[in-house]
Amino acid sequence: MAKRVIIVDDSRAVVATAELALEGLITSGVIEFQAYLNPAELLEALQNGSENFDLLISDVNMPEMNGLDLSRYIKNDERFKTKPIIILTTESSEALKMKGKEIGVTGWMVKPFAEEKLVKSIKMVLGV
Amino acid sequence: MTKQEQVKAIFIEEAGEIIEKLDINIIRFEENSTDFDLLNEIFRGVHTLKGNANAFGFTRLGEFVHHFEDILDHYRSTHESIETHNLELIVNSVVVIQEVMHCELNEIQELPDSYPECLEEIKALLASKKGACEKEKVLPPTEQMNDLTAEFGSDITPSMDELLNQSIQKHKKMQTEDLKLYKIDLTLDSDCYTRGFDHLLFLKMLQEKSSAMESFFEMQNVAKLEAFHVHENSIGLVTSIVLTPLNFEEICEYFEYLFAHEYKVELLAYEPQVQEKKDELTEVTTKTVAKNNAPVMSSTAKSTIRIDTLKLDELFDSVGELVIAQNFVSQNEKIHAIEDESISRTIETLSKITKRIQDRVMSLRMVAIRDTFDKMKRVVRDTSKKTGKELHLHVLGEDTEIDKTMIDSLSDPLVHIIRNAIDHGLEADAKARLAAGKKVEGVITLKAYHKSGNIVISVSDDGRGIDKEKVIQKAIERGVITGDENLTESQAFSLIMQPGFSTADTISDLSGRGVGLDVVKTSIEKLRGKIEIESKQGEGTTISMVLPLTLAIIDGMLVQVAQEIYIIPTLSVVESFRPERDIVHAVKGKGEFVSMRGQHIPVIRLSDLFDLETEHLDPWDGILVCVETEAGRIAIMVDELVGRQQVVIKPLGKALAKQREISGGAILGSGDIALILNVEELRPLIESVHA
Repeated sequence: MAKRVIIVDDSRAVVATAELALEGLITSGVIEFQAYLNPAELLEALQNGSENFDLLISDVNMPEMNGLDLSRYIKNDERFKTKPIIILTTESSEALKMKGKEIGVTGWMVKPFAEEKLVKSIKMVLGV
Repeated sequence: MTKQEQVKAIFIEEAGEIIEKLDINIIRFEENSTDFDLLNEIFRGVHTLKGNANAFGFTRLGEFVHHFEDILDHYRSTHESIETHNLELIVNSVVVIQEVMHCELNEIQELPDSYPECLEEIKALLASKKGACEKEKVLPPTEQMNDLTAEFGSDITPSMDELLNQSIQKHKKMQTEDLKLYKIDLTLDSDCYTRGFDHLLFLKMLQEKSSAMESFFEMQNVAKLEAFHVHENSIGLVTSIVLTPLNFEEICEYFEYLFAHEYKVELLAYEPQVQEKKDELTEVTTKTVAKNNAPVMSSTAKSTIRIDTLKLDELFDSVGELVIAQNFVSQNEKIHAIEDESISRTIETLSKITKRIQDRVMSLRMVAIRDTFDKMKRVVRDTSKKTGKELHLHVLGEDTEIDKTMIDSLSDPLVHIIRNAIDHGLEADAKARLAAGKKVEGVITLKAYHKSGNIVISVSDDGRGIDKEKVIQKAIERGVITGDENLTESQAFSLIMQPGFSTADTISDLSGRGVGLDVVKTSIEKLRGKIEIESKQGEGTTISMVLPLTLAIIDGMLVQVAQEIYIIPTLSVVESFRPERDIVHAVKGKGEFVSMRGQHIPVIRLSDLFDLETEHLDPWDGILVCVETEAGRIAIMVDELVGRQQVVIKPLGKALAKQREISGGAILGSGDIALILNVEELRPLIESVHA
């Protein structure tokens, strides 16, 4: 079964870059890829059960809700408690990482990211 | 295009949007430089731009934006008020960003001089701010933690009692004679959403009158995802620390709509104590209260998706056809003949749903004109600087909605009219204005409003007005008119829209540029709109663009001639009737007329116009549809009226483009194509037919 990978980032360029990087995994059926430009929309879809994921990759700085808040809401939900979340960010201060750790995010990736690194991280986290 | 190129194209498009938005926001921010929400939005855009610029190898842009971001970050995290010259620097930086983007896109090696200059200034400003900050570093380390929290709206958890206490301590230092510190407890009952009060609004209003406010609530209270109920509030107690010049009564006034048990205002004494036992609270700024409410509000929160306008157009066309097909079903006699309640009910439901879909889809294309007007603020600002004329821009009706496709083609004409109004409309200089008994500061009014089914966008100035005689004289010189015409005022004014006409004796850098208002006229006419000019000498000029509500749909009257169906825009129809034989007259060499209430209205036979064989030979056998045109009323003779409905306008192919009497086509429910008459072009035809 293909693993469902969701990316949420308000920048279409980032989404497109990620999609391109993951093309191999997508076409070989290892993962399904879904992008959201709006965190609130993703959260709503998760809440009402119309969306699900095996791995979430989230930007931090987004309108309406930042990626850490989003992660916290999701991690508070029993259904997603154990699902991995990777935070995508341009700044990676220790304080920020601490906070992420408290919330329970799995890992950090600094933008701009190398395509191979994204693929490697995803493979690692999903065990594929 | 390779995939890499596609991704890059997305980046470029997105960066363009961010920069455009930045340009608009920065001008808004210049007007109100204490709007930190806006500053945050600006920051976010710049932040995204920085990340992506570097990722796509636009390093010069990335470098500049990087420092620009730092300076914005400084102001947004310190809430320090921005000095005028620094604000100017920020506004100018956006121009530099636009220029650098242009260089990056076109792979121009040479950067504008403003790039290094502006960058140096930003770096210098940054250095001075950093220096200042370091001196202020006596602040406790928790201060930094708070900043982070504010930014990421979060839950670092040193004891919340501590945080509340820190907030009080921090603000106590800021107390003066006039600024008092209050603690306000708001209890949000679980049913508070259904009672219609927005507690956040109360705090926001209070915040506007206060110099500092911090709010706290207990994150643990907030229900988990699966337990969330949109109608129920689970936040409970919100405690705010407010530093404000207001007195106790004035603060209470903000909350007077609430029950007494729901709020408690307390003036904090100078001594550092008074700590009620609060359970674990989470610190957030009022801003992040909103953020943390997000799941509650997510059902109403605006979320958007981007759709290719081509797809939208297709959708729009299809819905138009759906409406027509639905009309066809509901009006079909055979279906009507079936006596079955469930069928008639289904048809009724179908028409309701169709109407709803139509309304929704219509509204998809409608956008507020605000963004276009905001862009004009920059135009006004720049033009004012270039001409050295002091002026004030007055904007009205920014929320007026207008068809998206129209908005795109409106910008250029609007820029032109505005520059024209400032450059030529307003008096040459302050002296001239004073001499005319006016204030030095000129007033330009930009206004959008609805008027009898149309949208009007007008630009007014309080300048010198148009000199009718001068216009006529110039028009004669340029050979636009011969001079024999006896022109009315509005006819004379409309001359300035003719090609090759310019009343300004010297072509200025701004509005001259070789193109005149005729370009404006042409682009507005393409939108099926028209331009109206009103002017009073010495008092000012108003140029209005009158536009149809939407480009894609018209309300049409369907008429039949022989076997053909034609559509007359309902907007221009005055009445339709079968004339008595004795009110129709034929005048030799001039054609037929019908007398209506003392007026002789020319009759035009559609069968003649389109060479159709009809059995209805005389006007009293057929129906006359009387329509209003710019040149007066005309009566269109048809065989029969078919009905009235909304039709989707389809452009005609090249073959029919020269048929001026036809403005487009529409597909009917039956699948047949009907032509839409352009009534404005019908009248001259009568004259040529009978000449």
